[in-house]
Amino acid sequence: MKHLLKSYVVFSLLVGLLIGITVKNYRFSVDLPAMGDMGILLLWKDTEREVKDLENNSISLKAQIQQLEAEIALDKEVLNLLKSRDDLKIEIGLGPIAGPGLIVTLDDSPVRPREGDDPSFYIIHESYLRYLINILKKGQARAIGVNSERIQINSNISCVGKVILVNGKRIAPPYEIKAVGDPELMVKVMKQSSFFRFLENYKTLFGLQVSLKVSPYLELSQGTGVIDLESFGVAP
Amino acid sequence: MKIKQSFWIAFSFLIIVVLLVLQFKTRVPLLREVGPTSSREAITYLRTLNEKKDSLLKEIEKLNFKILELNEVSMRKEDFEKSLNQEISKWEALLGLKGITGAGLEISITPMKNQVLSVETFIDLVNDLWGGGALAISINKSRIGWNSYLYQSGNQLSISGRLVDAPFLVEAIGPTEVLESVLRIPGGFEQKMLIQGVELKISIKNNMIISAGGIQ
Repeated sequence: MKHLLKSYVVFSLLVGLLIGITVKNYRFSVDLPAMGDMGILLLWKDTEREVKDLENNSISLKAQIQQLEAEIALDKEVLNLLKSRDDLKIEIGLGPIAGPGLIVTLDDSPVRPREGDDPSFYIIHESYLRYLINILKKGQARAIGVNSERIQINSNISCVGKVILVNGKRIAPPYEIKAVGDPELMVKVMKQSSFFRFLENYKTLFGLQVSLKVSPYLELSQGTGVIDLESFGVAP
Repeated sequence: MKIKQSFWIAFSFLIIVVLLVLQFKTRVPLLREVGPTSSREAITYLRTLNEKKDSLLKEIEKLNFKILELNEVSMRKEDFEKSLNQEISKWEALLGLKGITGAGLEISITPMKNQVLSVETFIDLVNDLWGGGALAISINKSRIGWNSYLYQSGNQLSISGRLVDAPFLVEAIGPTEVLESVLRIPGGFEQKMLIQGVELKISIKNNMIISAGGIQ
């Protein structure tokens, strides 16, 4: 009986400990650590949702416009104009595109930094994405996306602390850079570049996760960044 | 009695297993989702989101207006063609197939004698300028188009195979105040250049032309 009581005490302690850790982890996974300022945290979470809704609204209005234009375009001339316009928008990053391509996947190191090592060696920085995109352009990529964000002509990749922002929106690791184009050429150019060699070196030394994967078919959604056509003039 | 005891032991194990599974399940999003880790970062991120929200709201207003316009039965074919041609011309200008006019910044970058600026300096500068709302960028009159790439070729900078040398003149058309502030923020481009001893001059121009030449 005494033995059974001991077992129950140990069991209760274990269950208590596990419940405690689970609740703590759950709280963090839902709220994210914002140094205790819940007001700001909730605000940016809400604003993120609002931006997402507005983007969806904008995409559906654009689709509606395309449909109306197709209804108006009754002759070949106008249809050709519409096609030229849509092709240009695809190049700019405002139209969806699909085709074979390359996926570059990056992630922080799962290894804990060794004593004396700079912890920044173990993480993926936003500049890495910029430099890899530059290399993919050298490899004649036709279109590029990072996670769910399409890289447009005026896309910007920045960071706020450890958070990487693409087109002003938060993206989470692992970072997948998808490039539509000739996969063989892109792999060749990538492997020749000194920056990719630097990343491979960091992979060996610090455990950064870097991989290339050729894909026979990639789909990139249209970009959601706003370009105001009225804010500039065309040079004669 | 023995059956009851076995039941309780099995039940206890079941609870532990459930808790361990929960542990694992809550651990994964903790590691995957990254958000601002301080109030200051959260405010900066919030500001970026609000800018994006404002620009989307303006865009939606314009899209709704366009829908109204297209719904007008009286829209003549000639008018539609004209507006499409104007739109095409603007997209071509953005892509670098045509020149762009507007207010902008002139950034003159003069490294010290024998000093070589890394290609990353220019990639980061171009990224900063796009982030500040630039609509067109050129380096020493070479237009940066969607598919332009930069690399180091010896001591020179190559823009999609076109070699350019110091001193550099970077031109950007866009909202001048924002563009200037993006470059001058603490820890930004201006500060990085000063640390490296590079002579930097940023000037606002009310009317600039950046010529075509972005597409290879």
